[in-house]
Amino acid sequence: MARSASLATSRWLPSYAWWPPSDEYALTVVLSPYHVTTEPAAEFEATIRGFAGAGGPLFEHRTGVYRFGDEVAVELDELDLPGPPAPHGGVVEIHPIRLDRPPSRTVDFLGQWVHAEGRSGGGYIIPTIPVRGQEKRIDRDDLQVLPGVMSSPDVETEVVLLNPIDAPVEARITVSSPSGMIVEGGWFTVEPWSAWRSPLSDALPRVRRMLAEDGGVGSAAVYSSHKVLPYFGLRGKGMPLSCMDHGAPIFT
Amino acid sequence: MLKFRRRRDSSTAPASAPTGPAQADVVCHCLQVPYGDVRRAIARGATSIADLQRKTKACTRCFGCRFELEALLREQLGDSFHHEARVVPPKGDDRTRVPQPMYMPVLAGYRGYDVDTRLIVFNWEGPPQPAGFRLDLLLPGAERVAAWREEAPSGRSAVIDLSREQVGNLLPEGLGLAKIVLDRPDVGSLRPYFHLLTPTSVTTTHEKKGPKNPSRYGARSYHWLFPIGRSRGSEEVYFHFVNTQLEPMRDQRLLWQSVDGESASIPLPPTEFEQTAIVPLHEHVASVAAGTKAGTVRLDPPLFKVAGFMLRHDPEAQLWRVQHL
Repeated sequence: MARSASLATSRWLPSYAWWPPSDEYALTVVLSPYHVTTEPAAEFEATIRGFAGAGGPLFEHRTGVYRFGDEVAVELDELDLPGPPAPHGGVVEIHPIRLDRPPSRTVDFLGQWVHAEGRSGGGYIIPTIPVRGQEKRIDRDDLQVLPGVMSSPDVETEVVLLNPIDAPVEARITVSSPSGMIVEGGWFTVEPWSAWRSPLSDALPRVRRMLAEDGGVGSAAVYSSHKVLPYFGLRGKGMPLSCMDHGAPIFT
Repeated sequence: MLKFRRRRDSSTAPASAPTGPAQADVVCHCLQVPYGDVRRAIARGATSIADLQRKTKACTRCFGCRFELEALLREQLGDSFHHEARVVPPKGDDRTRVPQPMYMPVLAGYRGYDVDTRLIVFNWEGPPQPAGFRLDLLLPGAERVAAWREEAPSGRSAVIDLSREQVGNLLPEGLGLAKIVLDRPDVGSLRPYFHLLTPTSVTTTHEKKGPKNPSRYGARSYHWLFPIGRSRGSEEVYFHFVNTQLEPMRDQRLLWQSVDGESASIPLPPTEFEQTAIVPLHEHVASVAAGTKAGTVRLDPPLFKVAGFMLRHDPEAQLWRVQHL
Protein backbone atom coordinates (compact mmCIF):
# COMPACT_ATOMS: atom_id res chain seq x y z
CA MET A 1 0.00 0.00 0.00
CA ALA A 2 2.98 2.31 0.42
CA ARG A 3 3.54 4.65 -2.47
CA SER A 4 4.46 2.63 -5.53
CA ALA A 5 6.51 5.34 -7.24
CA SER A 6 8.90 5.50 -4.33
CA LEU A 7 9.29 1.74 -4.20
CA ALA A 8 9.91 1.62 -7.92
CA THR A 9 12.66 4.18 -7.54
CA SER A 10 14.64 2.41 -4.88
CA ARG A 11 14.59 -0.09 -2.05
CA TRP A 12 15.49 2.87 0.14
CA LEU A 13 12.05 3.87 1.32
CA PRO A 14 10.83 7.39 2.00
CA SER A 15 9.84 8.79 5.37
CA TYR A 16 7.32 11.44 6.21
CA ALA A 17 6.57 14.54 8.23
CA TRP A 18 3.73 16.99 8.59
CA TRP A 19 3.70 19.74 5.97
CA PRO A 20 2.19 22.50 8.10
CA PRO A 21 0.39 25.52 6.67
CA SER A 22 3.09 27.85 5.45
CA ASP A 23 1.58 30.92 7.10
CA GLU A 24 2.07 29.21 10.49
CA TYR A 25 5.48 27.55 10.17
CA ALA A 26 8.70 27.83 8.19
CA LEU A 27 9.76 24.27 7.48
CA THR A 28 13.38 23.20 7.03
CA VAL A 29 14.26 19.66 6.00
CA VAL A 30 17.68 18.75 7.39
CA LEU A 31 19.47 16.01 5.43
CA SER A 32 22.58 14.75 7.18
CA PRO A 33 24.63 11.77 5.95
CA TYR A 34 26.11 11.56 9.45
CA HIS A 35 22.71 10.51 10.73
CA VAL A 36 22.69 7.34 8.63
CA THR A 37 26.28 6.22 8.09
CA THR A 38 29.95 6.61 8.98
CA GLU A 39 31.19 5.40 5.57
CA PRO A 40 33.24 8.13 3.80
CA ALA A 41 32.29 6.82 0.32
CA ALA A 42 28.57 7.25 0.88
CA GLU A 43 26.68 9.32 -1.72
CA PHE A 44 23.08 10.42 -1.58
CA GLU A 45 20.37 12.18 -3.51
CA ALA A 46 17.07 13.23 -1.97
CA THR A 47 13.66 14.10 -3.34
CA ILE A 48 11.20 16.09 -1.26
CA ARG A 49 7.55 15.99 -2.25
CA GLY A 50 4.53 17.76 -0.82
CA PHE A 51 1.10 16.12 -0.87
CA ALA A 52 -2.34 17.35 0.11
CA GLY A 53 -4.64 14.79 -1.45
CA ALA A 54 -4.57 11.91 -3.87
CA GLY A 55 -3.92 13.93 -7.00
CA GLY A 56 -0.14 13.62 -6.92
CA PRO A 57 2.48 15.85 -5.36
CA LEU A 58 1.92 19.60 -5.23
CA PHE A 59 5.67 20.05 -5.47
CA GLU A 60 8.75 17.98 -5.98
CA HIS A 61 12.26 19.15 -5.18
CA ARG A 62 15.46 17.22 -5.89
CA THR A 63 18.59 18.09 -3.96
CA GLY A 64 21.22 16.82 -6.35
CA VAL A 65 24.02 14.56 -5.16
CA TYR A 66 25.49 15.13 -1.72
CA ARG A 67 28.18 13.14 0.00
CA PHE A 68 29.33 12.04 3.41
CA GLY A 69 30.79 15.16 4.97
CA ASP A 70 28.12 17.46 3.53
CA GLU A 71 25.23 18.91 5.46
CA VAL A 72 22.11 19.87 3.52
CA ALA A 73 19.16 21.94 4.72
CA VAL A 74 16.23 22.59 2.40
CA GLU A 75 14.16 25.57 3.50
CA LEU A 76 10.76 25.33 1.82
CA ASP A 77 10.42 29.13 2.04
CA GLU A 78 13.33 29.39 -0.40
CA LEU A 79 11.66 27.20 -3.03
CA ASP A 80 8.72 29.50 -3.86
CA LEU A 81 6.24 26.66 -3.42
CA PRO A 82 2.47 26.52 -3.22
CA GLY A 83 1.47 26.05 0.41
CA PRO A 84 -0.65 23.18 1.64
CA PRO A 85 -4.30 23.93 2.40
CA ALA A 86 -5.09 25.43 5.82
CA PRO A 87 -5.83 24.42 8.49
CA HIS A 88 -4.85 20.78 8.04
CA GLY A 89 -1.68 21.18 6.01
CA GLY A 90 -0.37 18.19 4.11
CA VAL A 91 2.22 15.45 4.02
CA VAL A 92 5.84 16.04 3.13
CA GLU A 93 7.64 12.99 1.79
CA ILE A 94 11.40 12.98 2.32
CA HIS A 95 13.10 10.39 0.18
CA PRO A 96 16.88 10.22 0.45
CA ILE A 97 18.42 7.48 -1.65
CA ARG A 98 21.88 6.18 -1.09
CA LEU A 99 23.58 6.02 -4.46
CA ASP A 100 26.67 3.97 -3.62
CA ARG A 101 24.86 0.85 -2.49
CA PRO A 102 21.43 -0.67 -1.88
CA PRO A 103 20.11 -1.43 1.61
CA SER A 104 21.65 -4.41 3.35
CA ARG A 105 18.12 -5.52 4.24
CA THR A 106 15.26 -6.06 1.82
CA VAL A 107 14.15 -2.49 2.35
CA ASP A 108 15.40 0.26 4.60
CA PHE A 109 14.94 3.96 5.12
CA LEU A 110 17.26 6.88 5.78
CA GLY A 111 15.53 8.87 8.49
CA GLN A 112 16.08 12.61 8.56
CA TRP A 113 14.67 15.61 10.41
CA VAL A 114 12.42 18.59 10.00
CA HIS A 115 12.70 21.84 11.92
CA ALA A 116 9.47 23.86 11.92
CA GLU A 117 9.91 27.42 13.08
CA GLY A 118 6.66 29.08 14.18
CA ARG A 119 5.97 32.36 12.41
CA SER A 120 4.66 33.66 15.75
CA GLY A 121 7.25 31.91 17.90
CA GLY A 122 7.60 28.32 19.05
CA GLY A 123 7.63 25.43 16.64
CA TYR A 124 8.95 21.90 16.72
CA ILE A 125 11.84 19.68 15.66
CA ILE A 126 11.11 16.07 14.84
CA PRO A 127 12.58 13.07 13.01
CA THR A 128 10.89 11.85 9.86
CA ILE A 129 9.03 8.53 10.14
CA PRO A 130 8.52 5.74 7.59
CA VAL A 131 5.44 3.59 7.23
CA ARG A 132 7.56 0.59 6.22
CA GLY A 133 11.13 -0.52 6.64
CA GLN A 134 11.63 -0.16 10.39
CA GLU A 135 13.64 -2.75 12.27
CA LYS A 136 11.48 -2.50 15.36
CA ARG A 137 8.64 -5.02 15.36
CA ILE A 138 5.17 -3.61 15.72
CA ASP A 139 2.65 -5.69 17.64
CA ARG A 140 -0.36 -4.07 15.98
CA ASP A 141 -0.73 -1.37 13.36
CA ASP A 142 -4.29 -0.36 14.18
CA LEU A 143 -3.45 1.38 17.47
CA GLN A 144 -0.98 4.01 18.57
CA VAL A 145 -0.99 6.02 21.78
CA LEU A 146 -0.50 9.64 22.76
CA PRO A 147 0.52 9.65 26.44
CA GLY A 148 0.04 12.95 28.22
CA VAL A 149 -2.54 14.79 26.16
CA MET A 150 -4.09 17.85 27.77
CA SER A 151 -7.39 19.68 27.45
CA SER A 152 -8.19 22.50 29.83
CA PRO A 153 -9.08 26.18 29.65
CA ASP A 154 -5.33 26.94 29.69
CA VAL A 155 -3.76 24.22 27.57
CA GLU A 156 -5.06 22.32 24.55
CA THR A 157 -3.63 19.39 22.59
CA GLU A 158 -3.20 19.70 18.88
CA VAL A 159 -3.44 16.33 17.12
CA VAL A 160 -2.11 15.73 13.61
CA LEU A 161 -2.63 12.45 11.74
CA LEU A 162 -0.82 11.79 8.48
CA ASN A 163 -2.04 9.30 5.91
CA PRO A 164 0.78 8.67 3.42
CA ILE A 165 -0.90 5.89 1.43
CA ASP A 166 -3.15 5.76 -1.63
CA ALA A 167 -6.32 4.80 0.24
CA PRO A 168 -8.50 6.58 2.77
CA VAL A 169 -7.95 5.54 6.38
CA GLU A 170 -10.68 5.45 9.02
CA ALA A 171 -9.52 6.73 12.40
CA ARG A 172 -10.95 7.15 15.89
CA ILE A 173 -9.54 8.82 18.99
CA THR A 174 -10.32 7.85 22.56
CA VAL A 175 -9.04 9.56 25.70
CA SER A 176 -8.80 8.11 29.17
CA SER A 177 -8.32 10.05 32.37
CA PRO A 178 -5.94 9.00 35.15
CA SER A 179 -8.97 8.35 37.33
CA GLY A 180 -10.37 5.86 34.84
CA MET A 181 -13.01 7.62 32.76
CA ILE A 182 -13.07 7.36 28.98
CA VAL A 183 -14.36 9.51 26.13
CA GLU A 184 -14.67 7.75 22.79
CA GLY A 185 -14.83 9.69 19.55
CA GLY A 186 -16.52 8.59 16.37
CA TRP A 187 -14.81 7.27 13.27
CA PHE A 188 -13.64 9.81 10.73
CA THR A 189 -11.76 9.63 7.47
CA VAL A 190 -8.23 10.76 6.76
CA GLU A 191 -8.09 11.11 2.99
CA PRO A 192 -5.24 9.60 0.94
CA TRP A 193 -1.98 11.55 1.07
CA SER A 194 -3.51 14.02 3.47
CA ALA A 195 -3.11 15.43 6.95
CA TRP A 196 -5.89 15.64 9.51
CA ARG A 197 -5.46 18.20 12.26
CA SER A 198 -7.68 19.21 15.16
CA PRO A 199 -7.61 20.53 18.70
CA LEU A 200 -8.43 17.54 20.89
CA SER A 201 -11.50 19.17 22.40
CA ASP A 202 -12.95 19.85 18.94
CA ALA A 203 -12.61 16.18 18.04
CA LEU A 204 -13.91 15.05 21.46
CA PRO A 205 -16.18 17.80 22.86
CA ARG A 206 -16.57 16.18 26.30
CA VAL A 207 -12.88 15.63 26.90
CA ARG A 208 -12.21 18.90 28.71
CA ARG A 209 -14.95 18.20 31.25
CA MET A 210 -13.74 14.63 31.74
CA LEU A 211 -10.14 15.67 32.39
CA ALA A 212 -11.04 18.59 34.66
CA GLU A 213 -10.68 16.55 37.83
CA ASP A 214 -7.24 15.33 36.76
CA GLY A 215 -5.61 18.66 36.06
CA GLY A 216 -6.53 18.48 32.40
CA VAL A 217 -4.09 15.61 31.76
CA GLY A 218 -4.86 12.20 30.28
CA SER A 219 -3.75 9.94 27.46
CA ALA A 220 -5.19 9.21 24.04
CA ALA A 221 -5.35 6.15 21.82
CA VAL A 222 -5.59 6.50 18.04
CA TYR A 223 -7.31 3.56 16.35
CA SER A 224 -7.10 3.35 12.57
CA SER A 225 -8.00 0.99 9.76
CA HIS A 226 -4.43 1.23 8.42
CA LYS A 227 -1.38 2.64 10.09
CA VAL A 228 -1.39 6.43 10.24
CA LEU A 229 1.39 8.64 11.55
CA PRO A 230 0.12 10.50 14.64
CA TYR A 231 1.72 13.60 16.13
CA PHE A 232 0.68 15.78 19.03
CA GLY A 233 1.73 18.98 20.69
CA LEU A 234 0.42 21.22 23.44
CA ARG A 235 -0.55 24.85 23.08
CA GLY A 236 -0.94 27.33 25.93
CA LYS A 237 -3.89 29.69 25.67
CA GLY A 238 -3.04 32.40 23.17
CA MET A 239 0.45 30.97 22.71
CA PRO A 240 2.08 29.14 19.83
CA LEU A 241 2.65 25.44 19.87
CA SER A 242 6.10 25.03 21.36
CA CYS A 243 6.87 21.37 20.89
CA MET A 244 5.51 18.36 19.04
CA ASP A 245 6.29 14.66 19.24
CA HIS A 246 5.13 11.55 17.45
CA GLY A 247 2.75 9.06 19.01
CA ALA A 248 3.98 5.75 20.36
CA PRO A 249 3.44 2.57 18.33
CA ILE A 250 2.61 -0.65 20.12
CA PHE A 251 5.88 -2.50 19.90
CA THR A 252 6.17 -6.22 20.63
CA MET B 1 21.67 8.32 51.96
CA LEU B 2 18.69 7.59 49.76
CA LYS B 3 15.38 8.89 50.95
CA PHE B 4 12.39 6.80 50.04
CA ARG B 5 9.62 9.22 49.32
CA ARG B 6 6.21 8.92 50.91
CA ARG B 7 2.91 9.62 49.21
CA ARG B 8 2.03 13.27 49.24
CA ASP B 9 -1.31 14.92 49.48
CA SER B 10 -1.49 15.79 45.81
CA SER B 11 -2.86 12.94 43.72
CA THR B 12 -0.26 13.72 41.06
CA ALA B 13 2.77 13.59 43.32
CA PRO B 14 4.98 10.49 43.28
CA ALA B 15 3.58 7.68 45.39
CA SER B 16 5.34 5.03 47.40
CA ALA B 17 4.24 1.47 47.99
CA PRO B 18 5.84 0.38 51.23
CA THR B 19 5.67 -3.39 50.77
CA GLY B 20 8.26 -6.02 51.74
CA PRO B 21 11.26 -4.63 53.59
CA ALA B 22 10.72 -1.04 54.67
CA GLN B 23 11.64 0.81 51.48
CA ALA B 24 13.70 3.41 53.31
CA ASP B 25 15.92 0.52 54.45
CA VAL B 26 16.48 -0.82 50.94
CA VAL B 27 19.55 0.16 48.96
CA CYS B 28 19.06 -2.02 45.86
CA HIS B 29 15.44 -1.57 44.79
CA CYS B 30 15.69 -4.09 41.97
CA LEU B 31 16.59 -7.01 44.22
CA GLN B 32 15.34 -5.52 47.50
CA VAL B 33 18.71 -5.69 49.24
CA PRO B 34 18.61 -3.87 52.61
CA TYR B 35 21.29 -1.45 53.75
CA GLY B 36 21.92 -3.80 56.65
CA ASP B 37 23.04 -6.63 54.35
CA VAL B 38 25.54 -4.35 52.66
CA ARG B 39 26.89 -3.00 55.95
CA ARG B 40 27.35 -6.54 57.26
CA ALA B 41 29.14 -7.57 54.04
CA ILE B 42 31.56 -4.67 54.42
CA ALA B 43 32.16 -5.54 58.08
CA ARG B 44 32.99 -9.08 56.94
CA GLY B 45 35.61 -7.99 54.46
CA ALA B 46 33.98 -6.59 51.30
CA THR B 47 36.12 -3.72 50.02
CA SER B 48 34.69 -3.00 46.58
CA ILE B 49 31.44 -2.84 44.64
CA ALA B 50 32.40 -6.12 42.99
CA ASP B 51 32.66 -7.74 46.44
CA LEU B 52 29.24 -6.38 47.36
CA GLN B 53 27.75 -7.62 44.10
CA ARG B 54 28.99 -11.15 44.80
CA LYS B 55 28.11 -11.20 48.49
CA THR B 56 24.72 -9.43 48.44
CA LYS B 57 23.60 -9.38 44.75
CA ALA B 58 23.09 -5.63 45.11
CA CYS B 59 23.92 -3.59 42.00
CA THR B 60 23.61 -6.49 39.58
CA ARG B 61 20.47 -5.53 37.68
CA CYS B 62 20.07 -1.85 36.79
CA PHE B 63 23.30 -0.72 38.53
CA GLY B 64 21.40 2.28 39.88
CA CYS B 65 22.61 1.87 43.49
CA ARG B 66 26.28 2.09 42.61
CA PHE B 67 26.83 5.46 44.27
CA GLU B 68 24.91 4.44 47.36
CA LEU B 69 27.13 1.37 47.71
CA GLU B 70 30.18 3.58 47.27
CA ALA B 71 28.91 5.88 50.00
CA LEU B 72 28.54 2.89 52.35
CA LEU B 73 32.03 1.64 51.50
CA ARG B 74 33.49 5.08 52.05
CA GLU B 75 31.57 5.45 55.30
CA GLN B 76 33.01 2.23 56.72
CA LEU B 77 36.42 2.02 55.03
CA GLY B 78 37.41 5.66 54.74
CA ASP B 79 40.35 6.37 52.47
CA SER B 80 41.03 2.71 51.80
CA PHE B 81 38.07 2.67 49.42
CA HIS B 82 38.85 3.75 45.88
CA HIS B 83 36.22 4.81 43.38
CA GLU B 84 36.22 2.79 40.15
CA ALA B 85 34.86 4.52 37.08
CA ARG B 86 33.56 1.35 35.50
CA VAL B 87 31.09 -0.92 37.24
CA VAL B 88 31.70 -4.48 36.08
CA PRO B 89 28.86 -6.97 36.27
CA PRO B 90 29.81 -10.10 38.24
CA LYS B 91 31.43 -12.85 36.15
CA GLY B 92 28.79 -14.96 34.48
CA ASP B 93 26.22 -12.22 34.94
CA ASP B 94 27.43 -9.79 32.31
CA ARG B 95 24.04 -9.14 30.78
CA THR B 96 21.45 -7.07 32.58
CA ARG B 97 18.12 -8.83 33.01
CA VAL B 98 16.16 -5.78 33.88
CA PRO B 99 13.84 -4.24 31.24
CA GLN B 100 15.67 -1.44 29.50
CA PRO B 101 15.63 1.58 31.82
CA MET B 102 14.11 4.74 30.38
CA TYR B 103 15.53 8.20 30.95
CA MET B 104 14.09 11.71 30.88
CA PRO B 105 15.49 15.09 31.92
CA VAL B 106 13.98 16.77 34.97
CA LEU B 107 14.00 20.55 35.06
CA ALA B 108 12.72 22.08 38.28
CA GLY B 109 13.79 25.70 38.36
CA TYR B 110 16.91 25.04 36.27
CA ARG B 111 19.04 28.21 36.00
CA GLY B 112 16.35 30.09 37.85
CA TYR B 113 13.84 29.58 35.05
CA ASP B 114 10.16 29.12 35.83
CA VAL B 115 10.05 25.53 34.61
CA ASP B 116 8.86 22.24 36.11
CA THR B 117 8.56 18.66 34.91
CA ARG B 118 5.75 16.11 34.79
CA LEU B 119 5.90 12.46 33.71
CA ILE B 120 3.07 10.47 32.16
CA VAL B 121 3.08 6.68 31.85
CA PHE B 122 0.14 5.31 29.85
CA ASN B 123 -0.81 1.64 30.20
CA TRP B 124 -3.06 1.78 27.12
CA GLU B 125 -5.16 -1.40 27.18
CA GLY B 126 -2.55 -4.05 27.51
CA PRO B 127 -2.42 -6.55 30.37
CA PRO B 128 -5.46 -6.39 32.65
CA GLN B 129 -3.28 -6.02 35.73
CA PRO B 130 -1.63 -2.71 36.59
CA ALA B 131 1.83 -2.11 35.15
CA GLY B 132 4.22 -1.48 38.01
CA PHE B 133 7.43 0.44 37.76
CA ARG B 134 10.06 2.16 39.84
CA LEU B 135 10.92 5.79 39.34
CA ASP B 136 14.38 6.93 40.43
CA LEU B 137 15.41 10.56 40.64
CA LEU B 138 19.12 11.05 40.01
CA LEU B 139 21.38 14.04 40.40
CA PRO B 140 23.65 14.92 37.44
CA GLY B 141 26.43 12.97 39.19
CA ALA B 142 24.13 9.89 39.17
CA GLU B 143 23.54 9.85 42.92
CA ARG B 144 20.00 8.58 43.48
CA VAL B 145 18.18 10.98 45.76
CA ALA B 146 14.72 9.39 45.67
CA ALA B 147 12.92 6.28 44.50
CA TRP B 148 9.20 5.68 44.21
CA ARG B 149 7.03 2.67 43.54
CA GLU B 150 4.33 3.53 41.01
CA GLU B 151 1.80 1.74 38.87
CA ALA B 152 -0.35 2.54 35.87
CA PRO B 153 -3.70 0.71 35.96
CA SER B 154 -4.79 -0.93 32.72
CA GLY B 155 -6.22 1.63 30.33
CA ARG B 156 -5.10 4.53 32.49
CA SER B 157 -2.18 6.86 33.03
CA ALA B 158 0.12 7.46 35.96
CA VAL B 159 0.79 11.20 36.10
CA ILE B 160 3.77 12.12 38.24
CA ASP B 161 4.56 15.65 39.32
CA LEU B 162 8.28 16.45 39.53
CA SER B 163 7.86 20.15 40.14
CA ARG B 164 9.92 22.46 42.33
CA GLU B 165 7.28 22.03 45.01
CA GLN B 166 7.67 18.25 44.97
CA VAL B 167 11.37 17.70 44.32
CA GLY B 168 13.02 21.12 44.41
CA ASN B 169 14.70 20.36 47.73
CA LEU B 170 16.29 17.26 46.17
CA LEU B 171 17.72 19.01 43.11
CA PRO B 172 20.01 21.85 44.22
CA GLU B 173 20.79 22.87 40.62
CA GLY B 174 17.19 22.48 39.49
CA LEU B 175 18.36 19.71 37.19
CA GLY B 176 17.95 15.96 37.52
CA LEU B 177 17.30 12.76 35.66
CA ALA B 178 14.23 10.55 35.89
CA LYS B 179 14.88 6.85 35.42
CA ILE B 180 12.00 4.43 35.03
CA VAL B 181 12.51 0.71 35.49
CA LEU B 182 9.51 -1.46 34.65
CA ASP B 183 8.72 -4.42 36.87
CA ARG B 184 8.34 -6.73 33.88
CA PRO B 185 9.52 -6.56 30.28
CA ASP B 186 6.25 -7.85 28.79
CA VAL B 187 4.10 -4.75 29.07
CA GLY B 188 4.64 -3.69 25.48
CA SER B 189 4.70 -0.01 24.70
CA LEU B 190 4.53 1.44 28.17
CA ARG B 191 6.37 4.46 26.88
CA PRO B 192 6.66 7.41 29.25
CA TYR B 193 6.38 10.96 27.96
CA PHE B 194 7.34 14.06 29.86
CA HIS B 195 6.12 17.65 29.97
CA LEU B 196 8.18 20.73 30.73
CA LEU B 197 5.76 23.27 32.15
CA THR B 198 6.24 27.03 32.11
CA PRO B 199 3.65 29.76 32.70
CA THR B 200 3.10 29.95 28.94
CA SER B 201 3.77 26.51 27.50
CA VAL B 202 3.86 22.75 27.96
CA THR B 203 6.20 20.55 25.92
CA THR B 204 5.66 16.90 25.09
CA THR B 205 8.48 14.44 24.38
CA HIS B 206 9.00 10.74 24.98
CA GLU B 207 11.78 9.12 26.98
CA LYS B 208 14.92 7.52 25.64
CA LYS B 209 15.69 3.93 26.54
CA GLY B 210 19.03 2.66 27.71
CA PRO B 211 20.67 -0.14 25.70
CA LYS B 212 19.58 -3.75 26.07
CA ASN B 213 23.06 -4.57 27.30
CA PRO B 214 24.76 -1.64 29.03
CA SER B 215 28.06 -3.53 29.25
CA ARG B 216 28.45 -3.75 25.48
CA TYR B 217 30.50 -0.96 24.01
CA GLY B 218 31.80 -0.33 20.52
CA ALA B 219 31.66 1.64 17.30
CA ARG B 220 28.30 2.78 16.01
CA SER B 221 27.36 2.80 12.33
CA TYR B 222 26.01 6.33 12.48
CA HIS B 223 26.28 9.48 14.56
CA TRP B 224 23.76 10.63 17.08
CA LEU B 225 22.86 14.11 15.92
CA PHE B 226 20.42 16.95 16.19
CA PRO B 227 19.32 19.24 13.41
CA ILE B 228 19.62 22.98 13.77
CA GLY B 229 17.34 24.98 11.52
CA ARG B 230 17.47 28.74 11.29
CA SER B 231 15.30 30.42 13.89
CA ARG B 232 13.41 33.68 14.06
CA GLY B 233 15.66 35.11 16.73
CA SER B 234 18.23 34.24 19.32
CA GLU B 235 17.57 31.19 21.49
CA GLU B 236 19.31 29.15 24.09
CA VAL B 237 20.15 25.65 22.86
CA TYR B 238 21.08 22.95 25.37
CA PHE B 239 22.29 19.42 24.68
CA HIS B 240 21.27 17.19 27.60
CA PHE B 241 22.59 13.66 27.73
CA VAL B 242 23.10 10.74 30.07
CA ASN B 243 25.71 8.04 29.58
CA THR B 244 23.65 4.82 29.40
CA GLN B 245 26.47 2.30 29.22
CA LEU B 246 28.78 1.02 31.90
CA GLU B 247 31.84 2.22 30.00
CA PRO B 248 32.96 5.68 31.18
CA MET B 249 32.58 8.20 28.40
CA ARG B 250 35.82 10.03 27.68
CA ASP B 251 37.23 12.17 24.86
CA GLN B 252 33.81 12.76 23.34
CA ARG B 253 32.89 15.99 21.62
CA LEU B 254 30.00 17.72 19.93
CA LEU B 255 30.73 18.79 16.38
CA TRP B 256 28.72 21.64 14.92
CA GLN B 257 28.67 21.82 11.13
CA SER B 258 26.57 24.29 9.18
CA VAL B 259 25.44 23.79 5.60
CA ASP B 260 27.97 26.43 4.50
CA GLY B 261 30.87 24.67 6.19
CA GLU B 262 31.18 26.55 9.47
CA SER B 263 32.31 24.13 12.17
CA ALA B 264 33.09 24.04 15.84
CA SER B 265 34.20 21.36 18.26
CA ILE B 266 32.87 21.37 21.81
CA PRO B 267 34.48 18.92 24.24
CA LEU B 268 31.99 17.05 26.41
CA PRO B 269 32.66 16.51 30.09
CA PRO B 270 33.62 12.94 30.99
CA THR B 271 30.68 10.96 32.33
CA GLU B 272 30.29 7.62 33.99
CA PHE B 273 27.26 5.35 33.85
CA GLU B 274 24.03 7.33 34.34
CA GLN B 275 25.82 10.61 34.89
CA THR B 276 24.20 13.55 33.14
CA ALA B 277 25.68 16.61 31.50
CA ILE B 278 24.01 19.59 29.91
CA VAL B 279 25.95 21.63 27.38
CA PRO B 280 24.80 25.16 26.48
CA LEU B 281 25.57 25.12 22.75
CA HIS B 282 24.59 28.76 22.39
CA GLU B 283 27.51 29.72 24.62
CA HIS B 284 29.95 27.98 22.27
CA VAL B 285 28.61 28.75 18.77
CA ALA B 286 27.48 32.28 18.01
CA SER B 287 25.53 31.36 14.88
CA VAL B 288 23.54 28.72 16.79
CA ALA B 289 22.68 31.25 19.46
CA ALA B 290 21.63 33.79 16.85
CA GLY B 291 19.71 31.24 14.80
CA THR B 292 21.35 32.45 11.61
CA LYS B 293 22.61 29.14 10.19
CA ALA B 294 21.22 25.67 9.61
CA GLY B 295 23.24 22.54 10.15
CA THR B 296 23.65 19.76 12.68
CA VAL B 297 25.48 18.96 15.87
CA ARG B 298 26.70 15.41 16.19
CA LEU B 299 28.38 13.27 18.81
CA ASP B 300 31.88 12.30 17.77
CA PRO B 301 33.46 9.77 17.68
CA PRO B 302 30.38 7.54 17.21
CA LEU B 303 31.17 5.14 20.03
CA PHE B 304 28.98 5.73 23.02
CA LYS B 305 25.34 5.09 23.77
CA VAL B 306 23.62 8.04 25.33
CA ALA B 307 20.05 9.10 25.99
CA GLY B 308 20.11 12.60 24.58
CA PHE B 309 17.74 15.50 24.27
CA MET B 310 17.99 18.87 22.60
CA LEU B 311 16.33 21.66 24.55
CA ARG B 312 15.73 24.96 22.80
CA HIS B 313 14.55 27.84 24.94
CA ASP B 314 13.17 31.25 24.16
CA PRO B 315 13.68 32.98 27.53
CA GLU B 316 11.56 36.00 26.64
CA ALA B 317 8.44 34.01 25.75
CA GLN B 318 9.30 31.17 28.19
CA LEU B 319 8.84 28.68 25.38
CA TRP B 320 10.80 25.44 25.36
CA ARG B 321 11.16 23.03 22.48
CA VAL B 322 12.44 19.59 23.38
CA GLN B 323 13.49 16.83 21.05
CA HIS B 324 14.87 13.36 21.77
CA LEU B 325 17.83 11.98 19.84
